[in-house]
Amino acid sequence: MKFNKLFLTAIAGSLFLASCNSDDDSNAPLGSYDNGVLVLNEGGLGTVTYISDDMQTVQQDIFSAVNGADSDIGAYTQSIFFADNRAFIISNGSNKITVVNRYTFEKVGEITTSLTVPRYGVVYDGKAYVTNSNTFESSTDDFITVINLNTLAVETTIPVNNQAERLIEENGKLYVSGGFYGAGHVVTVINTSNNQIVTTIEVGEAPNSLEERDGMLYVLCGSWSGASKLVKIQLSNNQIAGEVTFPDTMGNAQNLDIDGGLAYFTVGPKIYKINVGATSVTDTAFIETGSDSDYIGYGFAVEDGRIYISEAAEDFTSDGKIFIYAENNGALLDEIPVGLGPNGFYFN
Amino acid sequence: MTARKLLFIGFLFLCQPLLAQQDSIALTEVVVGDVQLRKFSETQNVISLNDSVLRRNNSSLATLLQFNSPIYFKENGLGSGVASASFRGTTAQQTAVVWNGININSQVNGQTDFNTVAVSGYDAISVRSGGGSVIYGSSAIGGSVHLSSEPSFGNHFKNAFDANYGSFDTQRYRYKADIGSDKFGVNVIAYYNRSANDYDFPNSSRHNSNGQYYNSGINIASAYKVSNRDFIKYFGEVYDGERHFPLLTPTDTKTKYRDFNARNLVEWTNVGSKFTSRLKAAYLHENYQYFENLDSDAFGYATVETVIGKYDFAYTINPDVYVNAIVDYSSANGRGSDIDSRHRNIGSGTLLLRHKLSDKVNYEAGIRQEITNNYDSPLLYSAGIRYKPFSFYSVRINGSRNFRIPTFNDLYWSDGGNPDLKPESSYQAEIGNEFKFSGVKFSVTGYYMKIRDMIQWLPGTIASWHPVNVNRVESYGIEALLEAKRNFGRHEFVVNGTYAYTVSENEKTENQLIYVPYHKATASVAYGYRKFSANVQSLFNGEVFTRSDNNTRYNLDAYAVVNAGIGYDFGKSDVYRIGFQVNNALDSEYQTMERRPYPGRHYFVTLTLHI
Repeated sequence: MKFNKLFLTAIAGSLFLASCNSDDDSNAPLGSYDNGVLVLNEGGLGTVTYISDDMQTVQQDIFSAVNGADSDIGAYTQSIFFADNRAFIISNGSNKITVVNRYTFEKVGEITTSLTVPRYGVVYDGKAYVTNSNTFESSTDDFITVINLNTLAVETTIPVNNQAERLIEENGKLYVSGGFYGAGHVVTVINTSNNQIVTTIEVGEAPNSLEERDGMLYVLCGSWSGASKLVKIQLSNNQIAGEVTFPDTMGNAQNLDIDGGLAYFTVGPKIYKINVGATSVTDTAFIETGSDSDYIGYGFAVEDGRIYISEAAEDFTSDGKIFIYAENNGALLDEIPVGLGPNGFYFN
Repeated sequence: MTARKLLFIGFLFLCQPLLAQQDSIALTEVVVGDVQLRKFSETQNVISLNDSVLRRNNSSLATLLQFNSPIYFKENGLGSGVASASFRGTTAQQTAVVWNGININSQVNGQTDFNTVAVSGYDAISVRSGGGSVIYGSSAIGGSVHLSSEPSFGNHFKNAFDANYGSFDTQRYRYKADIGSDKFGVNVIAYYNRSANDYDFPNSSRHNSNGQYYNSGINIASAYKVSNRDFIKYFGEVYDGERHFPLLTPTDTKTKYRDFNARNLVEWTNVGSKFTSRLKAAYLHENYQYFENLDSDAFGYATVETVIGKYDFAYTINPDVYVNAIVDYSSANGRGSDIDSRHRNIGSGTLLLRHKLSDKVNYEAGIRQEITNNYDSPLLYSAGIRYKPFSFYSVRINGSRNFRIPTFNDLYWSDGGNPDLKPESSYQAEIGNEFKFSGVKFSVTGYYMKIRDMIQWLPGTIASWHPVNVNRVESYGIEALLEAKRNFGRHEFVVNGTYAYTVSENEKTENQLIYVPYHKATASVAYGYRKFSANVQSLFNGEVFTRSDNNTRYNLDAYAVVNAGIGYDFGKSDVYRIGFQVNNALDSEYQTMERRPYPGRHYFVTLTLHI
């Protein structure tokens, strides 16, 4: 359900007309929160902000608006993943995944067992795989919870024996990044057919985000000290195919997002754009947000011609905001206040 | 827990033979540890909460002060989690808690958690508004709270036993023996408090889960008259408590916190015709354990042991001039799961002066310098003057420079601690008007305060969080206090009230600090007629911001809470009192932190034996 801006502008003016079309028109909104961006705010208690694709409608805390103030999506909501019409909102503070209809945001279920500080999830073959940090003291007790998407029952847990944060699925295998608050150094590969670890790949300090393109896994590593680098792993043999080390001035790079042939990432308040195949990187920012918050880039995404970046308030006791830029020329399109600690963008 | 209970019951039985041989009560001479509180507080506000107020509010120090002082508290619901004080718009680390003259704020985090101080343990609690760092050291910026034990000389043998039982399976027990002769006075208190604290949230399907707590302790205060000129005093206390931290949502990870604190203070006082010299030695032990997940036995901890040596020399030059010099040396050893073993020595010298210029005018002044290799310590000073043109009216002016030193966590936290921090420092001035006539005391004080180099933990480039001296705060406001006692025949009335108007702004953003209400007021009436007594106490708390940008969408609403109780004394020479108390009698819905509701109307029965 992705729409470009022009098309949206067109239907915004003829909403009545559109709604008169037949029900099976795939462009008709599937709920109040279709055709827009969901911004996850971690809280305190987590909230979700809806921003329509035309950026004209902004609604804070849509979950409470739909489900009542007595219901909540838990403390420190970390991320959202999707399975068909459902959105799974992960709360790491409340060990809970709230399942809602992604377009109406009506709550349809929740998962509260076998989760200990859950972080990120992916969906493959009728199952969800969710990483858990478990205790903060131990870096070897992290695990993955396997959830049956039909019953929402937990089927099993997979010990990772390394930090387990963001993950992607490719060809039935899970690639789990082990970067956690500046620590960790491996990507763990897990076979979903037997839930066994296939291998662990040493990538360097703090692999914090990862993307797959054309049989290649791209892992961005960046920590408080040392140079950042982009590591390429050949998925066919899980071998490192190369790496690009960034200049020292680009330490603690975060938020790798590949769109087409371009890889985007952030360093502090700056957004960078490189060719996926680049063999060297220079410190030339594509966009300078000008933000002086240390929490600029708390959330980041590139989607449908736009770059979204969020800024959490420095003291974390005020609402944050997001900046939206045009992907083609880096022009600032809008700046929108959202909730407390905005950490991710999701697209309906 | 069972062992602790048994110990307590055993202790009670031990006292039985003593109860039988009680003596006649003679006039007594009270011994205090905190002399400066009386001698050098003439130009500032001091609220003294006596035994009867303490016994009515024996749940926690946070509740007592919420209802009886201008201090604002926030906590995760009733008696749960950490209770943080905000005094005159300052942070929790800018209120000093002083135990018999010794500052006991945690070396680890710089504050006292007011839910870990049992009101039961003390004979008197006082609240002193405004700067006090010259006398009490770090953290006495917004003000200080003084916990006092007061043994007394003179032949007496008193026993008191209190038991409370109430809603949410809350139980409180306290035994106090107060024994004295011409030469010796001792006062022993043992207490045990516990609560399931699983109250229902008003108008919600939820309840306070994982809110249970218990704490127990023994406090001893004693004094021995070696000669007419020499006294030896000993104050000691042990506190052992465990609190579970209530959950924000039912599936949160359950956590709990254990505190173990032990404090010892020995003092030798030598009194001459013109001078008094006091030599003090104190040993303080603080330990916490934090269990981040109750499914596991793992915990984080920190322990600090502090040894303090203090020499205090007071000289009365003539009846109008009194000087007091204090030298103090403290050595703290800290270690913990996130702090390597660290050592910190601080020496200080203080000079205080009190001078009565005429029957109408007196002034006081003080200066203090600390020396330590851990940080640069500013010169602290204070001065105040009181002018009393009429017997019913006086005006007071006071100004001071105060500070809050960086804590072990701030300096030495393994991931991010900043050894280059400076102390937070504050300048303040106040002017107070006090009216006194036939049993009524009323004062209005305006103050202005600037605090700079406020330490805040921010995300950093070398670690995930890193403390820096970053903020500046400007606070000003009004504090009004009322105290009235009236008898109409055998009907006795005691009325107390406080009101605080507080503006406390971040200088950069010009926003009001979060969790600082503009308005807070308390009022209480105690009534006695022969053997019957009744009391009502109430609290009004204005709206507070919970967001630093003062976004009003998230404000906590203003609220008013009323507690009421009645009691009746049976018996003649011995007293058996039965009391009944209703808390939150109006069934108000309120919270001091976001989504942390307090209980609706709830009840207590109290039984007191004085033998």
